[in-house]
Amino acid sequence: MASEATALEGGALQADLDLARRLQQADQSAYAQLCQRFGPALHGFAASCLGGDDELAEEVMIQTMTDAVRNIRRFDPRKAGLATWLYGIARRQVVAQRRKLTRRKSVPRSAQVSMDVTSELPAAGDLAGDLAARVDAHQQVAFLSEALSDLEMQVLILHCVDEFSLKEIARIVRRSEKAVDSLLHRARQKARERLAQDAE
Amino acid sequence: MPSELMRDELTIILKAARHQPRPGWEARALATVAGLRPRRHPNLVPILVAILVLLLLAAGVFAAVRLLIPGALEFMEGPMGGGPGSFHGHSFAGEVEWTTGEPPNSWANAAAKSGRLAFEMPIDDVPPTRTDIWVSDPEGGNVVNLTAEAGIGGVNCYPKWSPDETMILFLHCDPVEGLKPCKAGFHLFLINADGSGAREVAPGRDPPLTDGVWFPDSFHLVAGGDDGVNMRMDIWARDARVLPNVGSRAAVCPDGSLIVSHATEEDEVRGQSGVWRRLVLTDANGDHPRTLAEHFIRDADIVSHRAQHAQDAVQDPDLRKMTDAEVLDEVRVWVGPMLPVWSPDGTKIAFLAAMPFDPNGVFYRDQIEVWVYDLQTDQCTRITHDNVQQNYVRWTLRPRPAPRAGDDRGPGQPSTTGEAR
Repeated sequence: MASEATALEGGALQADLDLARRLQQADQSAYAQLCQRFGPALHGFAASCLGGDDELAEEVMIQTMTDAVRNIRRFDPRKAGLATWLYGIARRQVVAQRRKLTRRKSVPRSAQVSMDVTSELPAAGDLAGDLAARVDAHQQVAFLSEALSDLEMQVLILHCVDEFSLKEIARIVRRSEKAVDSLLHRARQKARERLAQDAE
Repeated sequence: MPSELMRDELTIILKAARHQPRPGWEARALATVAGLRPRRHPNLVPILVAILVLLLLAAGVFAAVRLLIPGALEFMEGPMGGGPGSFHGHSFAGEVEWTTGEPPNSWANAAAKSGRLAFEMPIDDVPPTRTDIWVSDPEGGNVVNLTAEAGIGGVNCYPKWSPDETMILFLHCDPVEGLKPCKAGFHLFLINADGSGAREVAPGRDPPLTDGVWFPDSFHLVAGGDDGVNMRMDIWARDARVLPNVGSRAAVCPDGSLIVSHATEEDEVRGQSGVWRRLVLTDANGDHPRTLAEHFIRDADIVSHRAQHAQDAVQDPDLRKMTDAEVLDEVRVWVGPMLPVWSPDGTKIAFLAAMPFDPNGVFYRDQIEVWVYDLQTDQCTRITHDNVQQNYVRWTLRPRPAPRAGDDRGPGQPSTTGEAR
């Protein structure tokens, strides 16, 4: 099992290196591969951190890929994987967008529920049930983001949804592993309390 | 167990709430990303920071070197733009003119706009020489003896037109037999350009005002007496305000916002006593002083000058007439930057400086050169290099005449008329 996991990691690393090399050579097919491989994940991460604003999340995702392509020569595979590097860029974009948002005088995103959820529904199944579940999940995440700090929310998402290791998260958020562990623990604690409150 | 369940629930919620990109995202992303090229150059920020640090270090070293060498010649030789004596810079600042050789016996001042002349001229040869203030057209016509018409006898000298050309400031002295005018005491006088309204600017003041410079409004003056206190006042000596950092021979810039003057200060450098001679720039209130040029004269220099003078006096009867105080003044007053004159656009200051430029030349006395300080670049440029005495610096905006055939006054050879122009 262990050797299988190591082989998988080695394959992913090799794929990262190959993609980075092709991006450095301005290979057009590499751009498409970059978008397909990381676009949805980056968008999802950005949307979660930006209160479900899909338009802003897409802006962050595209800007992240733009920065990545322009600065691909700075990517050092010895320090971090391509995904970690990209999430680091995306997080900086998210922080910048959050800063802009706080300066705007508008209804907080956490108080809104995106109407785009209807477009994300599966083709078949219990439409009403799925929609209700999705809206409920969005509302719960909105509640969570009220209880958690931005950084705690980011760490939680990176760990639970994007399944990064503590070491990778530490590199993305530019904190020590110990600090990330502590942040994650605190975020879970707060989330648990919030969900318990919600259940009551 | 409940905690793990909760953790799973949390993951499920977060994953369920995960947003997917809006339809068509890939095309939009590719449209933005596809045309890009990776940057070729490395990050320039560290390089720029390194350059900045190096520049700051260089500036620090330069400043430290300047501080460590007090008494050294503080001027810098610099390139001249547009030919000797001609200063263009950011705007046409004008041309500097000066006379070379022994200073003329009489002082003349040309009005800035009309070019009318005001000048002093002796009326007899009997010492102490009595002089009057005269005015004339630029070509020398319509000559009028103003002080004679106003009934002010004695020694009248150093006329200065007001900027609006309606009044003339001058110094007046009632001669005393056996005393030079400077010993008898000068008083600052004012007279209208038509000869009317002659009066002392501050009658009864003790010590009397002996120096006056016009502000551009033709109503205010920088004036001072032998007590070294310079004041800004109007032409009736009202609203007098002491200008704390303004020294003698002040010059007010054309817009009236700055004053340049020279100051003398006793000091000790490296254990040797002496005096600093400084050209100091201040605002119109005499505040925010800034030294433009300075030179430290050691007392030892004065002693050696006195010895040199004694040797020269053996050959020169005129030098023998000089008192010891005058010999000392020759160094204390005339060495270092002096007599600043503003360019018409107020960006440059021409001044004279007597320096031992040539160690084989006559010490101090004949080595007065013309310098120009550019306030925009903070560069001080020596524009005469002939090691002889220059006098009467002034600025003109007139274009320099084209050299005539056979005219051997090439570039770098200033006017040597020996008269104020």
